[in-house]
Amino acid sequence: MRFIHTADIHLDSPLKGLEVHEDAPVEEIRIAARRAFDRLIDLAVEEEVDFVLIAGDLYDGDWKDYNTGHFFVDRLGRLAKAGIKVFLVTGNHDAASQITRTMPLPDNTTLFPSAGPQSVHLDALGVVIHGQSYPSRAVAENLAARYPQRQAGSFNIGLLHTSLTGREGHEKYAPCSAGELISKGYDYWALGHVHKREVVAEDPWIVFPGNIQGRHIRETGPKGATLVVVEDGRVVDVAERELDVVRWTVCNVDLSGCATRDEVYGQVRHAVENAKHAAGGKALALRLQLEGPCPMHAELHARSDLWTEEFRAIAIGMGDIWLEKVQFRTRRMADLDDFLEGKSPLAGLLRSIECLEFGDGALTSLVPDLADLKRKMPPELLDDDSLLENPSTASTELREEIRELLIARMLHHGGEA
Amino acid sequence: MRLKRLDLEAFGPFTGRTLVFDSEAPGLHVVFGPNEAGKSTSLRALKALLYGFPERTSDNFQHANEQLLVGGCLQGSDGRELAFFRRKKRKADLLDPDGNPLEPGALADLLHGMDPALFESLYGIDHRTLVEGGEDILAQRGKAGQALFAAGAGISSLKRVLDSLAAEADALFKARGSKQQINQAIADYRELKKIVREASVPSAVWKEHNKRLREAEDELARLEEQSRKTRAEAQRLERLHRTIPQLAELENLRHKLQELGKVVLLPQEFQQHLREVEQDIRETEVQIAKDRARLARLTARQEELPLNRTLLEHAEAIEDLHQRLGAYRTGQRDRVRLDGMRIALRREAGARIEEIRPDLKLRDADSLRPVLGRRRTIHALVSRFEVLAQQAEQAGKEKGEAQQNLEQIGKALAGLPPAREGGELEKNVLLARRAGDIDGQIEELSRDIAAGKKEWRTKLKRLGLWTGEPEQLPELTLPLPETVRRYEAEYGALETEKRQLKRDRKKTEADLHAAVVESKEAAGMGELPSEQDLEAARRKRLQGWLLLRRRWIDCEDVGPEAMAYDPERPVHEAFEQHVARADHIADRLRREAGRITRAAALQARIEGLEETIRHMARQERELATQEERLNEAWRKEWKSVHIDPLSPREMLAWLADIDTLRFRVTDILARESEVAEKKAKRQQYRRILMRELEAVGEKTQFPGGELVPLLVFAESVLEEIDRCRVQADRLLDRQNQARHALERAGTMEAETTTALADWEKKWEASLAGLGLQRQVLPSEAVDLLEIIDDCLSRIKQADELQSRINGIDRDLAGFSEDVAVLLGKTALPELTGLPPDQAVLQLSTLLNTNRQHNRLRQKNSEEVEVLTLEIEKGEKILGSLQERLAGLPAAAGCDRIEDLPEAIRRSGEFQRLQEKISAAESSLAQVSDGLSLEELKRQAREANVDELPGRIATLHRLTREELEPRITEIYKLIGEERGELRRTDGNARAAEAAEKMERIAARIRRLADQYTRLRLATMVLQNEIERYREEHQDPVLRIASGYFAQLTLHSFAGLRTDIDDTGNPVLVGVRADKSRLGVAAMSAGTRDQLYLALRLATLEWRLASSEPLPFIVDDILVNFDDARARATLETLADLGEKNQVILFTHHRRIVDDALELRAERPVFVHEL
Repeated sequence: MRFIHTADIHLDSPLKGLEVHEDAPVEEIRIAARRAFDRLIDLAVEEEVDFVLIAGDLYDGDWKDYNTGHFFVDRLGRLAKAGIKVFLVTGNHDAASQITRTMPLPDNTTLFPSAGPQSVHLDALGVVIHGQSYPSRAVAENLAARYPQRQAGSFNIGLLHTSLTGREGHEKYAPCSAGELISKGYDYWALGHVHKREVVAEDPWIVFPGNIQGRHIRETGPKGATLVVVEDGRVVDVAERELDVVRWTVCNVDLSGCATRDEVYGQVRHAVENAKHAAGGKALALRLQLEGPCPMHAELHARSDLWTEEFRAIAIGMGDIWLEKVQFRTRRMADLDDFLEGKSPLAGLLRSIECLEFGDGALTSLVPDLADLKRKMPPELLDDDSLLENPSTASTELREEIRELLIARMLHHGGEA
Repeated sequence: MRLKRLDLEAFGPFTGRTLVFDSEAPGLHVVFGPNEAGKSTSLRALKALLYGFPERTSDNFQHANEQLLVGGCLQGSDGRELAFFRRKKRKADLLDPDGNPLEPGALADLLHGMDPALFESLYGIDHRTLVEGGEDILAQRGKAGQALFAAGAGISSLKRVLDSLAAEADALFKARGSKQQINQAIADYRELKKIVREASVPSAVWKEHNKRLREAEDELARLEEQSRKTRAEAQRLERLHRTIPQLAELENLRHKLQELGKVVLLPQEFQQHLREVEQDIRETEVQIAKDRARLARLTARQEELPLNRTLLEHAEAIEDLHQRLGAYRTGQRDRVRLDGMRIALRREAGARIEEIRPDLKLRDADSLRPVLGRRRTIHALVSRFEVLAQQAEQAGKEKGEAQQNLEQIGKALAGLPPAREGGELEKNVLLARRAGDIDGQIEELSRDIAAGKKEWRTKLKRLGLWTGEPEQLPELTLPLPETVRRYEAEYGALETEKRQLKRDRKKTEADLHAAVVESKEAAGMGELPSEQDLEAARRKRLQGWLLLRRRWIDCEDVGPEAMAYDPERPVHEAFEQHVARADHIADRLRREAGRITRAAALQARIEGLEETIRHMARQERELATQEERLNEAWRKEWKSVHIDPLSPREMLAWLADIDTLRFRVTDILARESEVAEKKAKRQQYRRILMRELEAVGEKTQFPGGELVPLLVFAESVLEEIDRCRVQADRLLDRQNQARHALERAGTMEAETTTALADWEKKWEASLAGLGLQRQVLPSEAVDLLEIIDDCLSRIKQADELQSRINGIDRDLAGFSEDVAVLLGKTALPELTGLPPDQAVLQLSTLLNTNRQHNRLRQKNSEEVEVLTLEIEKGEKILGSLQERLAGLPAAAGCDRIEDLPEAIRRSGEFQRLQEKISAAESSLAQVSDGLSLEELKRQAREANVDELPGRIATLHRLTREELEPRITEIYKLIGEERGELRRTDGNARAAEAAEKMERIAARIRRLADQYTRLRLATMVLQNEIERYREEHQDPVLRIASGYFAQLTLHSFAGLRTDIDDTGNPVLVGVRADKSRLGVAAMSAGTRDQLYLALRLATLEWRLASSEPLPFIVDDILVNFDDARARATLETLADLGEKNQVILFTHHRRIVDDALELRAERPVFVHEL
């Protein structure tokens, strides 16, 4: 017996942080979540699995387009034609979604109820699947506690959307411990909710398959589903299968000692090549982090926008790479400590920058003009990542950037352009 | 830190150039170089020294990049010095003076954490910065904060920095703008959000549309059923309406067919068949008649051709003879020609015989043949004779030559001189030669000695102090250098002491002078009251008081004393005056206690200094005595060699030189002894050679002592002896050879004579059979043999021709016989008398004619046979055709051939009717829609024909006006609903729009961050400008005020701050009359000076807290007038007291000004 375990599909959830520009590989990463889902379907058909488990979060909670549901059902139809059953529980996003509530599902698909755990028997395979959907968006209750004990003589699978005891970057829903799950005596726990793949335990197997397509720079690395092979009632293989269309990668570039533009380009090109190679030629959404002390530091900071364009050109030259962002974190060769003690206005200026504090609301009180911008901005963009809203998280960087910006201007490093 | 030295080892146009900035005070250093001299290059070199070479440099045109090298020495404020070099390399570019790498951070302490840009900004100023700085002050409308900050940071244009920040921020966002990047992006974002909303289909809407579609589809199904039924009824009625007339027509045709009765149905081709048979009969009859006529014509022509059969039978024999005819005629011609040739040959042979033997007949010619057989022997004998004759001649010639040679040699031998032996002489010449060029060596050595002595004398003369001959020098007893050095040290110590004393005295005198001047100055400010003055005044006061007391209390008369006390005033007034005076003196003493103390101190100091000067004078005298004693001792040291010595240091040098001369003398003496030795040796060689020459009989005189003429002569004698011996040897050799040759020639002559006798005998034997009377010579014998051979071969040819003629005669006779036999057989009498060849030709012609006739007759017979067969076949066909014609009436059911046309017409009529009936039936079947004929007939019977059109029209109206519009309407509704639902086909329009929206969002985030940074930076900078002003305005402005006055030649008294219309503090210049002048009203040059004043002030202000660093000034004085330029130089020189200032210029005027300042200030000029 073979089955696929997947979760957190978030159909039609857009990729975040990729700014539009000419030559961007737009086509390569179009509707990435849908294409990754198509690959999942292809995988199920090719591998001739017996069923597919989906552990919650089919759609983004605030996504309203019924077309997305239509697409989902259409693909379930493909599985039905291949004689593959689908079992799914809803997660926190689905509970908030109108689509999940109204979309009629095809016959091969079983949606577990939200009122309480249900067990479905697949007599031909000797399998019993226990599962429960989310009744509401935020489930603080321990859902696993009410799951029944194993049913002897069958291969027991638990299907659950949970953060277990909590995972970084994920809200804490349906909390429970791995020990608690193990105590149910099941053979396989198919979990969802955590976007990073994780094998929590191997006896029995407790697995987060991760999402099938990374959606922003914090979801880096390969993404996909888990293919499980069971023989004689025992799990014999749990394999990760890559499905992502676009690979998110953070690429650290050490520019230590680089003294010319060519050397900088060389290092960046080398790093990007490595990243491209590591992703096996897949389309990349790439963030560059430039690091290390180097003579080019001032030049880099003075014209960071032009440099970013150059790096983008390098990335485009290698094909199908979308440069998400360039972070300039290089350092000066010599520190300015000695100089800072002097009476020069520049020293005073640098000291003042060091003393800048960015608490909540500090920016608008420091620079009242920023309040205008804040009012104009679409409110959904003023989230935790926004410098305007939340400057304290990046305060060191911000101070560094302001310092280099001013030094460059004043010492004519970057000129007035 | 200050720069002590700059080494331009290999940089730009410079190689090994050094600039030394090693002055006591930090100083103002003016580095002058006219255009192209490398002023800017040296400035770049300084930057390269401090901060390394730039990645790309233009200073490598003379020295390659890897050879570029600058060096220098920096001194920290703690006095520590660092000398180092810098080369153009990425790593390890710093080297210590020994070439070992220095740590990259070795300079960090000295540069105080300045990076190059900071250093250039804070400690460098050039003309451009100065002008921009001035302009910026104007652009900022003199705002104090900006001006102070810019000057403090060394920024020329702070306004440009602030403006660019503001401009970039404004390009990103404005609260009420729309074109700015962020405003634009936000608008795009909103637009896309709308698109997402429109493209999204909410679940409830989809369900509603789905329900409406289902209902509409049901209604459509119902309406379409009704429409179908109505159309079917209308169709049925229309069909009846069409078929009723056709049914009637069918009945009519069936009736006509019955009327036609019984008919024999003939096949359609029957009539055609009849016509064909009749036609064939006619054609066959015509063909038979034609064949018969031709047969008759052929038979008649056969009779006209004659034929001779006998001739045809002998055709082969006739042809054979005809072929042989050619050979017969050739034979006849050849016989005549051959006979002629035979006769000619015999005649020629006869002529040849007569040449040799006229007595011999042609038929006896064969008797000569044996001689011809010995032909080879005769040829060999002829050749042998020639060889022998030649040998005899050669032997005679050689014998003569040999005898002549012998005679000549004998004469030559007799003329030779007697032989001599030169062995000993030769050996001694060799020995003398091996000793080398003794003459040359002696001469060269003598020259060297003379030159050496001359040079020695010159040097000695130049050295002075002593004169004498070279030989005397080595014996001279001079003082030791150590002794001289001791004196040098003593003199040195004495001199140092003297100098020290002099310096001290000068200083003390200067101090004394200063003290006296100061004291005078103090005195000039008025006489100082002394304690004594006070004492005197108090005494006077007391005196007055006692007088008064005596007068008032004791009522004494004190007149005379009062008179003495003060002759002019009454006592009380005088007393009052003295009280006041005492108080005044006491007050002054108290008030001017400082001045008094100072005066006292000065006085004490003056006295002390005077005492010191006196003491010094004593010391000087003592030193003079000491020096005199030392001089005495010094001269004594040299007395023994009669030398009046110079100073010990000079004498040391003299001693060294005299030592060299002493060495030279030794050298010269060594050479002189060498010359003497060589001369003795030369004399010995001469003696030996003379002796040996006499031994070989040469007696010649050689004056002088040289060896070479003697040697040369001896060698020429030796050569002569050698030459005579060689000549004698050669002559004896030749005599021997000539004797041998004479012997050989004799022998050869004898041999040849014997061989010739032998040859004579053989010659006679071989020519024996020729039968000639005379002796035959070898030269004739060959011709003779040829003639005999020719004659015999001609006779043989004539015999051969005779036998060929006989053969031809036999062939001609055979041919004539064969012709006669044939003529006999053919029996043609007319040919019998003709010659054989004519007869054969006639026969051949006759044979050809007969053969032609025979061929024609055979051809005619073949045609006759064919025609006969054709006629038979035609008659047979005609018979069968007539039989077929007779059988046709029976087949058509009539008796005669004449009845056949009527039968054919009836059969045709019947067939036509039947076809029409079947067409009518098929037409009915087509319109009946599959109904049977009976069913149609039944429905036609039931129908009322008149009502049909009305019913049909009613049905059509129902369909057209009610059902069809309704159906169309439902279709439209379904289309609409489907369209609505099709929008929900799982497409990704909304998702893609959302993706685009995210991309715009990313852009907004980035731009917003950028905007935030720019605004923050602006804010921080502005705050800092204000803070700096608040903190530093007062001290910096105070210093700057002084500089400004100095730089403007006191056209301004100083600088102040004022408040402008907007309430901002601004800088103003203050005139001497306290009037104020805003920056806008200042000239451009004055504003430049204002900026410079601020720069210098901040520099000085910084000195209070930071380490000094060299201030690099690059040609800022270009636009200053002469007076202000000089004032600026003075100002910089003043600054140079505390901080090193390096001024680069290419104006000579600046250098001249600087040179003038040098007297009072630490100013140094370096020219490139």
